[in-house]
Amino acid sequence: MTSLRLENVSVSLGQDPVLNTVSLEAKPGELTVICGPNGAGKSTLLRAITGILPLRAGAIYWGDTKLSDLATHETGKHVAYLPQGQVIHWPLNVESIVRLGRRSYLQPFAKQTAEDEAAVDTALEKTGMTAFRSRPISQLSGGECARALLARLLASDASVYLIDEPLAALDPYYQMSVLEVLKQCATEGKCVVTVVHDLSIARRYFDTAYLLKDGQVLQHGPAESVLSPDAIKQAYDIDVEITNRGGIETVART
Amino acid sequence: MRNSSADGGLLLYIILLTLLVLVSVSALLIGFTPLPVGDTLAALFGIGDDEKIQLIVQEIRLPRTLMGLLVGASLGMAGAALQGLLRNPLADPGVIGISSSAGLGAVIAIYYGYAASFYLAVPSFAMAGALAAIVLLYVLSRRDTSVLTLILVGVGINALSGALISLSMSLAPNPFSLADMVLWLLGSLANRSYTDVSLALPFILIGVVLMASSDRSLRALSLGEDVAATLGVNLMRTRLLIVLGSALAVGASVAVSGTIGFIGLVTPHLIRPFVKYDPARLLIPSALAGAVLITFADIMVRLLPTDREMKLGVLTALVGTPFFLYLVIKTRRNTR
Repeated sequence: MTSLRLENVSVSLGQDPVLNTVSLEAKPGELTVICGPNGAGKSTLLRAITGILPLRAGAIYWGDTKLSDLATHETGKHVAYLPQGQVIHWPLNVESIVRLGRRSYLQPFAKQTAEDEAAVDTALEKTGMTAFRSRPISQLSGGECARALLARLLASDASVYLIDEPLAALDPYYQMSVLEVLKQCATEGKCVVTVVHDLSIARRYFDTAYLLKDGQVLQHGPAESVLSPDAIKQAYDIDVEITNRGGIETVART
Repeated sequence: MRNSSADGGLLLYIILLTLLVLVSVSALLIGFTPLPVGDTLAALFGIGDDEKIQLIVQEIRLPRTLMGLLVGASLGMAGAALQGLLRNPLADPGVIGISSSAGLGAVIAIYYGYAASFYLAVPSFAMAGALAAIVLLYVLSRRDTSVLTLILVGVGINALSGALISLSMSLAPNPFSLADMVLWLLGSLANRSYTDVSLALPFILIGVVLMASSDRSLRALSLGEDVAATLGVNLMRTRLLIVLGSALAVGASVAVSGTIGFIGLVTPHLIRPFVKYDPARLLIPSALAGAVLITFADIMVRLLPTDREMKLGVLTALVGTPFFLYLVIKTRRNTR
């Protein structure tokens, strides 16, 4: 089966090694979560997969295709990326932002095709943003804005979605609505890799978890077993308890 | 709904082109010597029988008007392209140091007296100054994909050129060359000939084409450099197109007109609401609007009852600054 594979990936920022021989497999149809304390290398990992950061060692594959062998606009058809705290620099309207998701398919000097239009419409629909399509992004609430940005990602129709902390700064209602969209993407066969800080959400809603610390994978496997009190203690230096509903409650710093 | 943006765009183009024709014709009709309208228009097409009017219209007013259109288009588009690339609404052609290094070139030509010995000395030296700034900018910032480095290097070049201009002024060999330097730096379109137009035209055309070809990348850059890169934008190529394009167009403009401020900064702000803040659709309307604004300002300096004609750069700064402040306050209120 085609999946996203990282084989012994190492990345340095300047002289500092940030990721050290990280291996990872994310399967289509699954929600994969990357957890770990601040500075563990989670965002660096996502940026390395997109090809923005050069690899010092190792390789990244989508199926049999080595991603670093592809031209940048080809990579965009396989991998779409939504960074943490995405800033939109001009008050563009929702539709033109979502259209940017189709840029990897754009031929030089060509207009957008019917296929592009359809993908934009579908993305707006899935995120419930159709009614907002001509609104400037500056007039949206934080939750609406998060869904608009998600629609830009979905419009790419890429095989792999890399999403860096999409739930921060959202109220519980919008957190659930974003999670539902991600779940639907996975059901449709997308490979969804998400960085999430909320350990309860990570444990309860995601299939597979990778726990990172100091640029290395501490544990990986089914989210429920990886995010155990022992592993969390080792990664975060905190004591936690698992609640009745499978969430995680912080008890104390160790 | 789908096509409304295209229709709005068409209307904007129609309005800007109409204004462009109106100000251009007015610029030909209005001048230091009052001329009858009919004779002026006849002289423009070479069918009048008064040779003096023909000379004034074809050799003085027409090149001045053409020069204004070219300079305005360069400044307007360069402002829009640089603000888009740097994602900074305060960017203008001055921010990457091109204007002041072109100014430095001109000041050097005046300092050493080359200006007196051959006609094109000042614009040629100014072009050389702008090109030197591009090379310096490229060498110092080529290794870094972040635009912040580009801005900082540009600010550095700007400051260095400014310091060298001040040095030349304080060491000026005589009061006349000092006055020449100051007046030249203030910016003007007066007494420009076809030689000036043909010197600047090729550089401005190439510059405008380079900038305009980066429009789609500018739109993607609204999402930041990282995401734009994942969408297939070649960051270094986009930067090269815009920096080189704006340097060629603005360098050539400064070379023939001196430094004319605020048009590059203000024009994009003026147009942005009409293109829904899309940095890609901003480029050509900004060029048209810049051409309209400069030509209009150049008519005003001829009409104002000053003893000597006021310098164009002085007028654009005088009117541009309060207007810019008004825009800032107004748009801040709207987007908050």
